[in-house]
Amino acid sequence: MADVSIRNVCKYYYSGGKLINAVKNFNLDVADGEIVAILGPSGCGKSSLMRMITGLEQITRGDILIGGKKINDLDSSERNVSLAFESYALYQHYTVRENISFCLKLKKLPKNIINDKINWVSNLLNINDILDKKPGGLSGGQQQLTSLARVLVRNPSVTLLDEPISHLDSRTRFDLTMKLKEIHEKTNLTMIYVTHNQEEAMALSEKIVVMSMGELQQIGGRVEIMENSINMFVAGFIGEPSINFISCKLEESEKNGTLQAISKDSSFRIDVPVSFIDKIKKNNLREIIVGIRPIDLHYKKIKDDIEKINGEVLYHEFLGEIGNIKIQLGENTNLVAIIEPSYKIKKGQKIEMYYNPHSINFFNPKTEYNLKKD
Amino acid sequence: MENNKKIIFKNIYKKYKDIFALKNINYSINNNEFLVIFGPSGAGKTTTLKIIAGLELPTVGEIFINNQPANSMSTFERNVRMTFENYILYPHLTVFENLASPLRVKKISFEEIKRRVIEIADVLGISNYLDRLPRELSGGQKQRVSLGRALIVESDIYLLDEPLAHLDAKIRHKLRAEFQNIKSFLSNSTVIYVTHDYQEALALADRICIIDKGELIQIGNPEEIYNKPTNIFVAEIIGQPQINISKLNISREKDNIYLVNKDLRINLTKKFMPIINSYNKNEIIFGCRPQFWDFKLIEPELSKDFLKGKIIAYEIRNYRGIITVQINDEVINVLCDISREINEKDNIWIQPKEEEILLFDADTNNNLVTKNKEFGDA
Repeated sequence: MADVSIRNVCKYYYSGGKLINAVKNFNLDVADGEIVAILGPSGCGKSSLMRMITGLEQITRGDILIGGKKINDLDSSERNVSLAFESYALYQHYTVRENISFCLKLKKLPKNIINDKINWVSNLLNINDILDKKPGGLSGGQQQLTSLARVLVRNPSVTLLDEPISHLDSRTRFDLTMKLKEIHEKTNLTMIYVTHNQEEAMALSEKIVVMSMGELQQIGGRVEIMENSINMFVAGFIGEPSINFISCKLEESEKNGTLQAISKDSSFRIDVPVSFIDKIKKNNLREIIVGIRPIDLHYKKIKDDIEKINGEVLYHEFLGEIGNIKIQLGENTNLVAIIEPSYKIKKGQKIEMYYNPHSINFFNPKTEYNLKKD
Repeated sequence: MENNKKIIFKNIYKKYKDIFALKNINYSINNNEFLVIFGPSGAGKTTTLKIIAGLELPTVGEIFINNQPANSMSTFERNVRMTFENYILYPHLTVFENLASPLRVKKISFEEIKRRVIEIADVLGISNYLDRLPRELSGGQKQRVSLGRALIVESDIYLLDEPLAHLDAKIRHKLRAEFQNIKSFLSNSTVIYVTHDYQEALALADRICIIDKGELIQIGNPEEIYNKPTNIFVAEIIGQPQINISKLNISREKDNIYLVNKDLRINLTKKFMPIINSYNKNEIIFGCRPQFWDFKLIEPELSKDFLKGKIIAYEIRNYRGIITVQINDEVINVLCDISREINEKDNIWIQPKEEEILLFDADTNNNLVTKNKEFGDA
C-alpha cells in the first residue's frame, strides 16, 4: 500500500487532426489507505487520469508518484497498480475460482498460498457459493465482485476502480457501494474510485474530487462541496434534484447601502448579504445568480426560516422516501423542492415555502464562481 | 363488460419452450390510464407489451382491446405504438426529419407534419435541436427524439419499454421529471410504461402493476404499493435503502405484546391486538422502512422503549443520511436528515414508528396489516 501524488499532470492527444487537452494541470494527493472519489461527467478526463496512473497511457507533462517514487517511466507491470473497469473482462470459459487465481498462477505462487488468498478474498466479498460457477451464469453484480476479487488478490499498492458499478441496476449499485466501503475498512487499501454518479461518490467517500473539462474543480468533504460549492458547475452537479439557479438583477433598496437580487419577472427577491457588497461593487456586477438547493426549501417552517416564497405547484412526484415538487413563482421562475412524501400536495394548488437566507449561495454570472470563494 | 376498460387480460399464459414467461395473468387497464409495469429482469414485462402489441400471441387465454377479443387482431388493427429500449434513429436525417418520418408514410400534409413536429419537440424539450443530426446529440437528447418518433403518431395505446434506461443518472432524473409534461400530453391515450426503476414507477404511474417470474403480484396506486405492500417481495423491491425485515417471536407479557429475538424487542400497542389474536403462530415477520424510525443520539429517558445500538456506518445520499445501526447480530438502516452530529461508532437509540410497522405471515410472507392510513390524490 502506498500514497499517490499527482503533480501538474497534463494529457494531450490528437483526435481527428485536433489537439485535445484531456487533462489540464491536475494536482491531487491521496494518502496511504485513503479512499477518494473522482466525480465528473463523461468526457471530463477522469478515465485518462486513471489510465496514466496504471501506465496504459503516457503522461504528457507532470509527474505521478506512488509511495514517493516517480512512476512516469515505469512499465505497467512494475507499478503494482490494479484497475477494475466497468466491463468485467472475465474469462468466460473459466470458473470464478480460475479467474481469480489466473494472475497468481502466472506469478508462479505456490498452490497453498493461492488457496489461502482465494479463501481470504471469497470470505471478504462473500462469494464462496459462486466460486465454481462460470461467469455466464452469474448476475452483473456477481461478475463485478469476481472482477474485484481478481484485483484484490494481487495485493496492489493502489486500487483504481473506474465506473465499476455504474451500469448495474440501482439496488445492486446500492449494495455494492456498501460492500466496497466495508472492503476498504477491512483492507485499508489506497483506493481511487471514479464515477459520473454523484450519489455513489457521496456514499462511498468522505473526500470528493470534482472534475470537469479536464480540470480539477473542487476537492472537499461531501458536506462541504454540497453546502459551499466553489462554482456553478459543482453546485449543479452535486445533489439530486439539482440546485435551482435564478438569474437576478441587482437593485439598491430604499434602505441605504443594501442590495436586493430580483428575478427578471420580479417574482423572487432576496437581500444580498452585506459581506458581498464590496465584491459586487469591485467586479461591477449588475446581475447575480442565486442558487437554492431543493432541500433548503421547507414546507413547514423551521428555525431561522425567515424568508418565504409563493407559487403554484406544477407537478408533484411521489418517490417513496421523498417527494419532489416544482413550483412556479412567476412567468419564468420555477423552483424544485423536496418535501415529505406524506404531504398531500396537488398539481395546481397554491403553496408557500420557507427558507433560511443563510442557506442561499450567490454566484458571479461572469466567472460562474461562488461569491464566498471568488 | 365495463366500458372504461381499454385492455383486459383473461387467464393469459405465455410459454417459451418449457419456461412460462407469463402465468395466469388477469387484470384490466383502464381507458386513458398511465399504467407502469414494474418488476425485476425476466419478470415478463416486455412479453406483456408484445402481447398487447400483437407481436406475440398468448399460449393460453385471451386479450380484449376496446372490449373486442383481440387475439386474432393484427398489430395495425390494434392502433398501438411501441418504443423499444434502444433508440433507433436515421443517422443521415436531421431531428426534424427523424420525427417527421413516421408521418410521411401516412400521407399527411406538410403543414400538418410541421405543426405536429413542432408540438412534440416542444413537449420533449428538443425544439432547439431540430436541425441537428443524431450524432450531434447527447444520449439524453437522442432518447427524446426516439420517444418523439413513437409519440408523434396519434394512437389509442402507447407502449413504452424502459424509455429512460441506459442514461446517466443525472439525465435520467431530469427526464423523469420532464415526463410529467409528456404524461399530460398523452392524457387522452392509454399508456403502458415498463421500467425496473422503482422511483420512475412511483413518480409516473396512475397505477403500478408488479410482476415477478411471470406472475402478477400486486396492482395499485403508488402510495398503496409503497405503504401497503401485499407481501415481503413487494416491500423489498420498492424503496431504498431496503425495508428492515426481521423474523421475530411473539411474546405476551400481561397486557402487552412484544416481538422479540435475542437482539430485538419491539413493543406492539393494542392496535395490533386483533391481528396477533387471529394469527396463531409463534413466529412473525416484522418490517419497518428506514425513514419510519425515531432515533436519539443521547440516552432517552424512557430508554426501555428504544433499542440501543451502535452506528457502524453513516452515508449521505441525495440530501439524506443513512445510518446503519448494529444491534449485536441485527443490522437496521435508518434514514434521516443530514446532520453533522452523527458519528460512526457512537451509540444510538432507535424505535420504529408504531403506525408504520408492517407485519407479515412467517410462512406465506403475506402482509397481515391493513393500514387505515389516508392517502393523497390517488
